[in-house]
Parts: sequence; C-alpha cells; structure tokens
Amino acid sequence: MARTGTPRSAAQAFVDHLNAVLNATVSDARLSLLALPDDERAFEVTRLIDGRRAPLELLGSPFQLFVRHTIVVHDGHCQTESYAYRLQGDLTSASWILRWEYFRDPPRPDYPYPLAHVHVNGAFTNGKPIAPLHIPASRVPLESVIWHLIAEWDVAPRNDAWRALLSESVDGFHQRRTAH
Amino acid sequence: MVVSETSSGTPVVEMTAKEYAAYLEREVRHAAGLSVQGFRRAYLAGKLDEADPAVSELVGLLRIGQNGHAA
Repeated sequence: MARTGTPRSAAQAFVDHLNAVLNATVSDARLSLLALPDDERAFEVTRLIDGRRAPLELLGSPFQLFVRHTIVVHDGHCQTESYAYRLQGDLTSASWILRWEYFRDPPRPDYPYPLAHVHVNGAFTNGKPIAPLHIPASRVPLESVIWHLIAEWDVAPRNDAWRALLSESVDGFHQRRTAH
Repeated sequence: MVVSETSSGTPVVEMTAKEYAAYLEREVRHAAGLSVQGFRRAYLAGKLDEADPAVSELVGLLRIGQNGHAA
C-alpha cells in the first residue's frame, strides 16, 4: 500500500476513481496503474493483461474501448500529460471508429495539429477519408466518452444512476482543472 | 514485474527499468513494427503517418516531447 501524500498514493486514488466510474457504468474491466521506473512522479494508466495492453470490454456491446493516460503528479495532484481513448470494433486497433487524443506539449517542434483532437474513421461523400483529420476539441474527460457510448453506441449502462454518477464525476474533473 | 492491488482493487504494476524497456519495445513493435529507437527517429523525422491510430498513441506512450522528454 502506498504511503499517503506520495505521488503513488495520488496516482492510485486517481485510477481507483476511474475504475469506480467505469465499473459502475459500462465495464467490468479495470485499468491498471503502471509506475514508470525512470520517473517516480509519472504513471501510465491503461488496462494490462499479463504485461500487455488491452482494451476494455463494454457491457452489452461488441465494441471495445482502449484507454491510455500518462499522468504526472505535481504537488499531490495528477496532471494528464497525454491520453488516448479509442473506440474499436474488436480487439485490434485497426478496427478503430473514433479516437480522442491529447498531448500537454507538442510532441515535436513542428507539430501542426491541435493538442486535443478527435479522429473519425469515415469518408466524405467523394470517398476522401476523414480519418487523417485532427478535429479540434477540448480536453475530454473519460466520463464524457462513457456518456457518449451509452447515449449513442447502445452500450448498456449498469443501472439508471449513470447520468448522475457521470455528471458528478465530470464536475470534479472541471473543478480539478480550474484549480490546477 | 510485481503486481499488487489497491484496497479498491486497482491493479498496480511495478517494473524494473529493464522490464519497462522490454515492455515498450514489445508494444511499439506490435503496434508499429519498429523498434522504440526506430519509431522515435522516424516520428521526429516526420516519416510516420499521423493518421495511423498507432502512431500518436505510441508518441504518448513514449512521452515524446512531454515533460522534458526529448522531442
């Protein structure tokens, strides 16, 4: 068990919260916390099975949700360094349908895209693919992705309390962002 | 690799530096067919397709350009 007040304890509390939200709404799977060995403040949050990354199964749905956050703990608070949420048709990344991505800093000096963006795997009526477009977005909390999956992708919520639960959790996300 | 759980049941994974390097190598080879070094070099040279679902996710995984990590 991590000592309170350490980067590990803050990161564990963050992932415990995400898992509580996920398990109360759309998935029985759990995200893992991977402590990065070269930086005691940095952690990867994703689902790990036998040391390999895997998407989350969704209740009542053939779709899968891949989640990766990289977080860095500053003064006891978890700061998201980057995230990738990917709605997939099956276990493979090639089956992706939607992607939400964010980098805190440009990954290279000439990076021309918005740091928070969405990709849509589709095509215009002329056949030109939409997938390459980095469509600008705000930073999206995982709760908003879960809400979208329930409302528009027929993922079965565990119970009727999902709206209140997700709203409350998103409010916390915005308060944390305002404060830090 | 050591796996424990928080009191709420969240798996907590600890890897040595060597295990973590091997993990990154496995993930990058699986997703992009490149070594970590090869991926980093190709990405920074602008030779990878930014629309590929693997590319930007691996950039985040490798922390390229983030929090003082070399871009």
